Amino acid sequence: MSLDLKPKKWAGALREVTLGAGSRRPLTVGGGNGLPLHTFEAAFPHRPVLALEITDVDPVRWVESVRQPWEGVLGRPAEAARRAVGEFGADLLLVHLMGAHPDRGNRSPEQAAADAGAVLEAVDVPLIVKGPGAGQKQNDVLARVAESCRGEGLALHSATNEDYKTLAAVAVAYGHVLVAESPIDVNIAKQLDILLADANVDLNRALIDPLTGGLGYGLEYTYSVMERIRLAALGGDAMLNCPIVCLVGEETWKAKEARVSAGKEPLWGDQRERGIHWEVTTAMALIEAGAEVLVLRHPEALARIRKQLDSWFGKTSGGAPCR
Amino acid sequence: MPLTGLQIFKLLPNTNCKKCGYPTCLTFAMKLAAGKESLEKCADASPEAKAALGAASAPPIRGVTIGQGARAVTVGEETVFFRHEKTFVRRPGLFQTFDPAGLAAAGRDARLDHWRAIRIERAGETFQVDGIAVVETPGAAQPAESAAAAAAAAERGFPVAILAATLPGATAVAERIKEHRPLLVPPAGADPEAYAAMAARLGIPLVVGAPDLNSLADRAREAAGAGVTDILLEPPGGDPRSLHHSLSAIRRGALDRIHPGLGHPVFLRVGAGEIEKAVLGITKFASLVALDDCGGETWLPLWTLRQNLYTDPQKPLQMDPGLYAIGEPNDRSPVLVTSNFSLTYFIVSTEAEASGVACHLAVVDAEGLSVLTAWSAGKFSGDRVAKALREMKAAERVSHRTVIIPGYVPAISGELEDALGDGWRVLVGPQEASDIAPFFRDVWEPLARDPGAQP
Amino acid sequence: MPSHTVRFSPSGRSTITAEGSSILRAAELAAEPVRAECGGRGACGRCLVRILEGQVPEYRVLRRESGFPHVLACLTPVHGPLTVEPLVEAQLPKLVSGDRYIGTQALRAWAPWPLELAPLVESREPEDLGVALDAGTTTLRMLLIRLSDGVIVGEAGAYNPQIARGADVISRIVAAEKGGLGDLAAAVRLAVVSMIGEAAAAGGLDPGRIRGYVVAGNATMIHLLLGEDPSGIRRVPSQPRALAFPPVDGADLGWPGGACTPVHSVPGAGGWVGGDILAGAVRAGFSRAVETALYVDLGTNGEIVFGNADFALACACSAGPAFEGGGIRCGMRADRGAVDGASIDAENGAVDLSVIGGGGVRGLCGSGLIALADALFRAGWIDRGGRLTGRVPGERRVEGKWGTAIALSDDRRVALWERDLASLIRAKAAVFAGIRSLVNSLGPGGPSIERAYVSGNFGRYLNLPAAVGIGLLPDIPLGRYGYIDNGSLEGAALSLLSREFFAEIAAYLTRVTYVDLSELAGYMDEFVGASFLPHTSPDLLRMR
Repeated sequence: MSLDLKPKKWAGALREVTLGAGSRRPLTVGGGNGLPLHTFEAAFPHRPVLALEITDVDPVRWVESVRQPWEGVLGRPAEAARRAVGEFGADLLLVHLMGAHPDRGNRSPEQAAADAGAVLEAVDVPLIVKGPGAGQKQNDVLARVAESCRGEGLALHSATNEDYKTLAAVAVAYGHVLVAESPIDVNIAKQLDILLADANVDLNRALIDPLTGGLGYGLEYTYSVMERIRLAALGGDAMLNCPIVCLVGEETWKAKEARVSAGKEPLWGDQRERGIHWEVTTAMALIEAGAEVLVLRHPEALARIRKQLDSWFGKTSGGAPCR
Repeated sequence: MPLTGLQIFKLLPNTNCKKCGYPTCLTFAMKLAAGKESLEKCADASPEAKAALGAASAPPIRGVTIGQGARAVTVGEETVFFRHEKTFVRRPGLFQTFDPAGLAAAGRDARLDHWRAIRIERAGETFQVDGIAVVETPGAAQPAESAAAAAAAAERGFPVAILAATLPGATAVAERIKEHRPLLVPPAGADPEAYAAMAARLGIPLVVGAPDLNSLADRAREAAGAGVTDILLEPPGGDPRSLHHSLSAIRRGALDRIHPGLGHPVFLRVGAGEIEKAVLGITKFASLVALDDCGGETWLPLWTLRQNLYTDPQKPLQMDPGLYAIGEPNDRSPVLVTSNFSLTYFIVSTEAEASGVACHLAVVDAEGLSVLTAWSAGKFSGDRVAKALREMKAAERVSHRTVIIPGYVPAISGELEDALGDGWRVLVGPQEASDIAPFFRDVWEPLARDPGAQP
Repeated sequence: MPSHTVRFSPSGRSTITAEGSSILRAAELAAEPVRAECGGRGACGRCLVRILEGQVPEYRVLRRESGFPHVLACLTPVHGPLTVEPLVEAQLPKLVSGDRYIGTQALRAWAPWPLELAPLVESREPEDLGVALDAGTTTLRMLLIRLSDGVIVGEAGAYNPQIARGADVISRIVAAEKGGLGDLAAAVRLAVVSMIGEAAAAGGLDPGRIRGYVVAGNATMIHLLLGEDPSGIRRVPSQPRALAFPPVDGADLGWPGGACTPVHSVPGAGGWVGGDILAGAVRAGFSRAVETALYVDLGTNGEIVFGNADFALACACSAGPAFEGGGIRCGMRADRGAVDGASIDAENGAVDLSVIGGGGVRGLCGSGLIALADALFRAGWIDRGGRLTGRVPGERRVEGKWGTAIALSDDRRVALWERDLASLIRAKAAVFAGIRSLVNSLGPGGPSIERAYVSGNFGRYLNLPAAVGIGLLPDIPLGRYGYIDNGSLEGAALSLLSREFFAEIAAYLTRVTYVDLSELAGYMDEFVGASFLPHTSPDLLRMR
């Protein structure tokens, strides 16, 4: 008896969003018309892309096993960018302007713009630019960066329900992509996209960040919210079909399970492997839930995930020659 | 498809006799529909009702138990493709693969004891090695070795899976420990009928494998026809893409009841260095995974992943109760109380952070409800908040004795003060989170400067 | 023990209070409405009063204005005669009273099926009277009805003096647990006597002619009125002393009437679905309806009933006070000067406000808030999250210490603040989520809303298109909606005049199933979804 496994067809599809413009080699994500990785019954014009996180200042809180591959370039964005793309094969980069936070250096918007500019000079992959948090400072910093990098199609991280007007305006004015962030809630994610659309943001130039809960720290909430978002998108909801970006590195390396040495917890095994596994497990689970852009920290995690994705999408080398 | 509350209500006597313990038949029907009650409680349920409810509730994926006693593992009985549709029900068993070849008894026992001793506590659960998958190594002397290893594992209470290599070898092991309900796992390419016959004869669960999905479904049905009552399916697919395809197709096929051979839990073998395969298995519905030897650095993330995905998503997103630091608070920083509904927490913590004033945010367990909803349901009373503050040892974190409650529940202030005692004073804070910054500026700061003043 | 006279200005109410008791207690005794949301613990800061005459302890003085000390009424002891003026924060807005009902033949006006005049209480003389009372948490409303022909001859309203012990039922239950049961009972009983006196005087009627009473209220109000211990109500699950109390003698409550004047209370279906809601639902025809209907009480507790003759589901969503003008900066009851309607011409920026009694704008009542929010949204002056957009004309924008607002009065003192809109959105989200959760709790393919009734103290009328427009009420054909001014009061009146009606309520309550929204998976999800104008997914507003 032959199994009658009918492929599932959907009314809707994900938007295709192109990251990077101007002097960038553009990267397009999204466009799939089926459940994540269901290549047996749906078409996916673009594969999930893998980003590495680089910082404007030395990230002192990063645990040693994550700092180690970046030795010598931590807090030096242009050099870190070159290593990330040239050696580690990142498809794109997230530039985290943590140093602009009032408590962590209070770097000025001008300094932030200079850092972003230096990275643009060093590599030609698209950039996601993450602000320092901290309300108005973040808006000031990202607005300045957006202006000075106009036309480069940066992804600005991030706009929220409470605070989206400034970034919506600069994203539209300077030709960037906007990341819409919501606190692990389908309704709020949709509300934000509606507010952005009402504010004249083209949702074909937007990504959704549903807020990643790391493994053991809310992963299942993010996972289910993402599955629900994907189902809504495939059902035709045009306010929930932007591709999803997950900041996996930041969330997973916070976990004590990723950081504590085997000396303290012998049953937990080797810390270096464990941390990488923590990051890989989170990322793979979220890819299955629909993540299209993954931001990672450990290059080995990136390599392992790329190898998995190759099974579905064919081999790519990732990255690009550096300048 | 499970019946709805209304459909069940129409099958009940509608007398509101209350013998079931509920005030109305409709309440009882809604509990039944939510899976929180069983029809037995209704003394007057008709045979038609029993039949209808019975048929509708037979799970599309059969349950299978491996092992017996306290550590027996039961898998299957799943009803959904997406966990958010309802919940995943039976967490998958994660077994340790064990090849005893060449090990003397002492060495073998030491390994088993080591695995038995592994206990990691996390979020109210104890992670342990769920069972042992014994590798049967072909060769004359070896069956005794494998059988002895299997017996040693079973004696220690482990459920056992037999990773067979040969029919006679597997038979020897299975015979040795058949009372312990071991899982029989034939090797790839084995003769399915012979193994099915053995499993049926011994009354033990069997893994059925095949090179493609069609054959898999047919073979499972044949095995059932041969008298094997408990079956696990081993999906075809040597690479992540094909495996993902098989796993998804099997689950969907089972739920849609396309072929009886698909309605069984799934078994997966994972080699060393293949954590991604195990992740795929756990997320995509595998019920039993046998992992080659690896250390805590592999087990811990997998146990945690399983723990995460197999929690009940019907509960709203809740924060863990506790005292959260906003900024870098010290012992003079204000203490704000709020509920553990995640949205409330996010809004309040964001506004508190934006205020620039470092503070302690006391997140109280309100079962994931917003402040007003929780309070009206009696889940945010003064007593409850006081108890939470004591458990968080708030008194040890601050030198003052003032706690700020949300502006929507001034009603709890008296009860809270009474319950806290010890000179604690309750300040009614703002109603809107966006007023936290002005509140700190206009009310808290003057008070902090001059504690004797009235608010 | 010495005692002192405390006088309140400008109302003129006064009382004699024991030495050392608080000014708030004096207010309670004098039936002077003073806000005390925390029940008099000194925690909420709302009971601010100004001392016009007399001495108060210096350590209680918060500040002085023009030489007059400002103190918290709950914390300040009376040590001598005082004249006290409640400050604006402490005042409750004036209550609507008047002659809305006088002359109405209750059975003819309100009966959901033909009802014969057959009063619940014995009546012999043509001038015999009966009293229908809605014992609300915040307001009491009373009708004097001639039993011989069912015509309403008197009416009165008053604030429930128990407010001094807290705005909500839970704080009153707590007060009762702490030994305040006697005082709480006495206070509300006295207030009723006062209202009867007022209504009788206005209509030239004799309270001695009263033959009986029917009281409808939530479980807590009934328990407190009858002096029954309410502590079980707030347990989980709720365990009131009884759902139905036998009638008591009016004389035991200190109420006027001849010998044997029974006081009947309308039975409830549970600790959180009281006789007031049941009376309203049966008044709306639920007990005999073939069609499934929705009954929504837009009050603080937001009770909702969904059902028909065969079944009824009921829940209470905690909407908060926004619909009654509470918690709104310029909120007020529906009284002279309250905005109760609005329209905005987006082209020219003209704002047209309907004000009760004409004249100047003094505030916003519940129906005005709803109408205004809808008008602002349609005009694009607020976004879907309730925040002001760039379209608001500059001269209408107000920036103040509470954030941003839209001016409503010419002097810009009456304004609608963004945080008021946030309160409204939260309140309407709770109600809509409650409606959807309740209706969907039976599963897909369940009954739809074939009729809907709305009741509440938000104004003279409810602008239904506006209510649907902001996503407060479901989008069903408007013709299916009906408005009931005060279902509890009308149901009490019908019970008084018809034994059959009263018996029907008692029979119906056994078919009512209480649904605890806090236990319902998905309620919080619905709530967040509804926290948007009109909804995050507007197709969910359409409920067939």
